[in-house]
Amino acid sequence: MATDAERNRGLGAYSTPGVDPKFDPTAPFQFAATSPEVTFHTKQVQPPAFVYIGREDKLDVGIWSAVPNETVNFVLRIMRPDGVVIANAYSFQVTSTRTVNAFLQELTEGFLLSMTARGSGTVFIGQTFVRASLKRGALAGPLFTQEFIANYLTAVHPLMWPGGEVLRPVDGPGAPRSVTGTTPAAGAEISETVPATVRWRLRGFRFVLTTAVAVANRETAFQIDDGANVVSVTPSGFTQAASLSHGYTFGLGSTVIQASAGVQHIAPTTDIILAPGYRMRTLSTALQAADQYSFVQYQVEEWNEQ
Amino acid sequence: MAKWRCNSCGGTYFDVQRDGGAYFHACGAIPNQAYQPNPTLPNHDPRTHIEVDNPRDERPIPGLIYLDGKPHKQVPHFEERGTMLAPCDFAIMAEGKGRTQIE
Repeated sequence: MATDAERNRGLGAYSTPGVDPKFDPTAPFQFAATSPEVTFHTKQVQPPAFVYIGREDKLDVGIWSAVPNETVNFVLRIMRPDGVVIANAYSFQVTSTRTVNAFLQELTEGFLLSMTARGSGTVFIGQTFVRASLKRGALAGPLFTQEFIANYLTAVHPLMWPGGEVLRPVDGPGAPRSVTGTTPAAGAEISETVPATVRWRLRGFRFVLTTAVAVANRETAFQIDDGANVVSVTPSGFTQAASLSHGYTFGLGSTVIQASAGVQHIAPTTDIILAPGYRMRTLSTALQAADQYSFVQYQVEEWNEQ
Repeated sequence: MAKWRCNSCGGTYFDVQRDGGAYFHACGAIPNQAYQPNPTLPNHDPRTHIEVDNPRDERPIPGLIYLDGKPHKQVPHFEERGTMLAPCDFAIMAEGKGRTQIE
């Protein structure tokens, strides 16, 4: 049986009237756990951002895209001087593909908290490169004061600041692209030129040579030059007679294969980064005036070169 | 997606690729019909290939920047150090003999 001392431990039903103090429901709760070592201000707090947008500052956006009519949507969260946080949305549409499209956007004064940029039609990484920075003055003026984002984006993978990367356009993987080339006139060679604003890495080049009735042993080679000087020549290693139609593939990492049926030939090509102005051409021996190259198709990895 | 024939070299091409990207034709070389490798002959011509006469190059001129949908080029600023954007007409590297639409 419990003693009076055991029954009198604590308050409640087992308390002894007149011995234990009466329960007071208005008494303040006393927290007995350990208090945190760090405390925080909840009033007069400084803004959590180091970028302040002044009245003369503007958002300078440059977009290079291979996607026609691509629209890049920006959302900026800005804390106004009165402490109100607003989200401003801006859309920029590309007018010309594979050329820099520049935009200068007025902004609300305040602290810039965050920025995101998202594409609308871009599917592959490497198709649309976006750069956004804070600028003072005219669009072509030199007063860049803060670079926010510079990277490729897609409709699914946006760019963001803070926390995003600032990269060069040639960093990272390029966008895969399959190009249908020019079908030359009869008796002429194939010639494909790298456009001014891109950098290519050739993955594979294919064409068909249909020889005329004129008797001759044609031999095709694949040549890459820088616009003036030849940097690579790969012979097919095959001689094509008259009145035949053969396909040729020059592929990265290929080995020489001459099909026994004589209709498909495969040869390696050199792993070369093609700068603007570089040319990919056929170099034929004994090509006759009525011989015809056709079905020119090649696959490249493409980057913005601007 | 129109198909064109270059009036300079006779090549045919589509100006828009299947992925929607633009294609810029540039004339290539043609076999030299007057090729003569023998240096002792008076009509000696060692060139196996020659460029076409008045070639066409549809690549845009370098340095174009589109501002508000209009082409501009960076030019020296007329008052301050640095550059400014000046409007310009869209131009390609070489018109050549033009092109003809065939489809």
